[in-house]
Amino acid sequence: MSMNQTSIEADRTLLARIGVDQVAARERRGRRRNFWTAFAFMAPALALVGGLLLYPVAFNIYLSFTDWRKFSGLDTFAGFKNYERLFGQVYFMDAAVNTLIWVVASLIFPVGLGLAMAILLRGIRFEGVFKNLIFLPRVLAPTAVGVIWYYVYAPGGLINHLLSVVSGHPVTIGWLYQSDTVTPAIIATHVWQTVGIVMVLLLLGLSAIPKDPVEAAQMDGAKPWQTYRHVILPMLTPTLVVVSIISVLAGFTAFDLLWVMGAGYSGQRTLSLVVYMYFEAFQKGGWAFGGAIAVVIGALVLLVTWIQAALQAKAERMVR
Amino acid sequence: MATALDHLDYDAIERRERRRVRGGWGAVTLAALVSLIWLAPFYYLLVSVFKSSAEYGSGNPLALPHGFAPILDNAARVWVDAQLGVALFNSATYGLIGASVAVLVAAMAAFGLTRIDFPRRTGWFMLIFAGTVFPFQMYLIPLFFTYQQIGILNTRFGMILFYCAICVPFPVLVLRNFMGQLNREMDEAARMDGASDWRVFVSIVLPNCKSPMLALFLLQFTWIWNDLLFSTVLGNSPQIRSVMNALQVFQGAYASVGPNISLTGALIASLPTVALFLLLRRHFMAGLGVSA
Amino acid sequence: MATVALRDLVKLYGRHPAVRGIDLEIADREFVVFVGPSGCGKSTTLRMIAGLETISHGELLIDGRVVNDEPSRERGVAMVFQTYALYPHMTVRQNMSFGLKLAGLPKAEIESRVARAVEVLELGPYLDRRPSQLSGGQRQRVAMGRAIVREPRVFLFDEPLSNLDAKLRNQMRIEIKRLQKALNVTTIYVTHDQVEAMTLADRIVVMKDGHIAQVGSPTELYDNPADQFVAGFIGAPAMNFFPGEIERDATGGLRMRTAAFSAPLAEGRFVPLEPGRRITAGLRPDDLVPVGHGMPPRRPLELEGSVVLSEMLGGESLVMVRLGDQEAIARMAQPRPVVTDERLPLMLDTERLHLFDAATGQSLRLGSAAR
Repeated sequence: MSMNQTSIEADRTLLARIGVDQVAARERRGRRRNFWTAFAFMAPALALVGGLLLYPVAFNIYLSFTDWRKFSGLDTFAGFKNYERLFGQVYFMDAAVNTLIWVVASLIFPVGLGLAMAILLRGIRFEGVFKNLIFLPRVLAPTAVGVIWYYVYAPGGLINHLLSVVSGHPVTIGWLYQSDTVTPAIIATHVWQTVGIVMVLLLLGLSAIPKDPVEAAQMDGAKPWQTYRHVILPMLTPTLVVVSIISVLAGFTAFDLLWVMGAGYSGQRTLSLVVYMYFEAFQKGGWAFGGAIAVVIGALVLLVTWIQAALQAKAERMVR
Repeated sequence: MATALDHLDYDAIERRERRRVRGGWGAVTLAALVSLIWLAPFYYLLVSVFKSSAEYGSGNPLALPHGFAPILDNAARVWVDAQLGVALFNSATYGLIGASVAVLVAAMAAFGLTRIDFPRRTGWFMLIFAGTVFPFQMYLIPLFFTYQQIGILNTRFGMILFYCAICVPFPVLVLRNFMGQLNREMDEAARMDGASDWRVFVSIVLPNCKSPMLALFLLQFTWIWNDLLFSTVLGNSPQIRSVMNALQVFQGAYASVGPNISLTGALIASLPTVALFLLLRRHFMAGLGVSA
Repeated sequence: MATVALRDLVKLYGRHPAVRGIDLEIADREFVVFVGPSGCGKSTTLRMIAGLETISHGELLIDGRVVNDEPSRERGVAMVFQTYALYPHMTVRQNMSFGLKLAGLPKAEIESRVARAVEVLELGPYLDRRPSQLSGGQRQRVAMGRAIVREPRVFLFDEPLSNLDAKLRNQMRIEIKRLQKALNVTTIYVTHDQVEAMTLADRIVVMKDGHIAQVGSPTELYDNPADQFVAGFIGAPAMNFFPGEIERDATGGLRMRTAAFSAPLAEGRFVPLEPGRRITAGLRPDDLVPVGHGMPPRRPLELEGSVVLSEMLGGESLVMVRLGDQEAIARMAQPRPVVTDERLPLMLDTERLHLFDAATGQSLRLGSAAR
């Protein structure tokens, strides 16, 4: 339409008349001046994060490519030697397998159990009380939890005692000392501590689901479990994804429990990649080697985070 | 029709309405059962700390203690042998200073990121937030080495410095979100009143962020209090170590002495954060809600 | 007290002009209202005067001094924001004293200024309350109080009443007018509501698409709009428009013919026109009088319309009638109920017909204030 054309022309004449480039340059200068003010506000945060968090990461990546050991030099470049050695180590592979078991377990158990509990507790009498009780383990420090459960699993401890009572004869399994029971036992403790927050987040997610589709399903004649399966759970997917990721990452980087509860296990270093790294770097003095392990851990975490972001976006698009 | 209302049994109706909650007593019983099993370790903790070593060794783990006196002995033992007093002081210091400095620094950064217009704001935010993207393990070795070189290994200053740094990114995320929602015309009114940027920050924006800042402080304080890994690496000496570090070392060395003593140590180490949680539950939950 | 001058003021966002070079001289103590549809640039202009937006081009003068590069606090302006922008964590008293404290005024001076403002605005009982404890109207008054205590040279209002409900809006409008008369300070007021403009302003500035469409007193704008846009914007209910053309009648004189009616051109009212010229005729609902319901015009044109619907407002009603091919609104004083399709005799006031060029929308009236 001619009106638009004249207004575009009018724009152009106006811009030419006032010298739009000078105006733009002035505005840019103004924004840049603003930048320094903002920078002053951000400076402490940038200094702290940059110096103590970002620089170490960069340094870590660098040193993983050197030949640095406790007493020898930092500057000998060693290429991928550390990484090659890494993948040849039995301890590394064991630790990696255990870490993988942790990832899968911390995906399934806390989320599954948390979901079951959330469904059980939602809307019943005393919901608030139960919610707080289940959440209570979360309030303890992981170290303290580790100490408590160390003795719960001890040969003369709570678990064995209960099993003795139930089965009728004395049970003295050294849960934390045997290779086939140590990881599941510690995972169980981790689940005990994590279910609380998973459940709380799922309850929040459940309460955020709009009532209309649920009521429509009820009027369509769906039975409760059908409503859950076809209406509620699909709409819970974004929350489920978030909760899963929190759970997986927590399991991935768990150190405290492994350090305290695994102390009596001879193969402690293979309990997870994180513990393995600590051993290699701080107890054997292989800095570069330890650095390489750290890089591997970092890459895996980034991978998981990236997968999460993609899944979350997809889930949200589905629900919309 | 109007008079019929008088004949209704309001109490029965109220009871029926209240029971409209799902499940009724069956679900409650199930939930109670689950909770009971869930809290068994707490029960175990509480009965064990009141037993002397002999008492613990002789009975079964679930037995009730004979009296309350032994806890004093247990506490004294762990206090001295684990140097719990120093450790508690350290953790309290690290937590209070670290968390409050971190939250304030984060508020400043969030202010710069949201209330001032400058190019590539998002990029700068990502830079700060990148601090949390990488797993902790990647910081350990370089930090240990650098701390050693500079000479701040095993110093309180070094510990506080680290805790400040690591507690900054998450609050920046939360406060950036929060400040982004605050009404901007308030800033403009203040600027027209003649306020400088710093004034706007201190007198106008900051007082309106009290709620999330408190929740964040609590979360970060708890995180610092619970830390084991970084205290072990960066400040392991007995005078500098955090309470969790002290607890773990004690438990490793005294594993055979008696669970009752270690458990007493675990209880003492946990009391502050549990107390904080119970008193300030609302703010904790708010902190979670703000981030979720 | 101050004069304000805008000289070729331009605001660019990137390459997009929001304000396209406006010129305006505002006299001391004048109440000027900027009005126009959303996006016309009125708020942007106000913010440039306030110092909240940079001026891309042109000059802003306050009291004869160029203030383009001066920060807000040095321009001697105070602003009342649309959302009041009160400091939520401060009491009313603190809200009003904040700016003065920053300026370093002595405590006694601050207290006396606050006391004076509080008296004028009747905020006495609320001094120690927080904004969250106040109603919308009270918050409004606090916002005004904050501006008053600064004793500015120019008051700026940015759509202050748009967040209030209708009844409160009417009340506050009167308050603002009373206040301005009492304080006697140059005031620049922005609104999208033409009723506010008409009732408050000494002069109205109508803006569209970053330009000034017309400047004038309320009466001038009402009786003598410069173009079709202003004619349709000012006055409620809006003016009726009838597209048509000029033709020669049997006697050789000129008439306007539209799909609704054909009327003679009033003598000496319009610029020279030629037959065949496409025009748009404009007629306010007040000037389309149902027979027997209002003063008959001096030179009426009698028509008959068929009723489409009517809106009863109590003391009058607005009747939508069909004239020929077109629908128009007529104002019926001392109303009676009407039925759809009822034939309603009307009298059209030919002396108050407006004429606009069909292509440009410019008024074809002789001596119109078109810019």
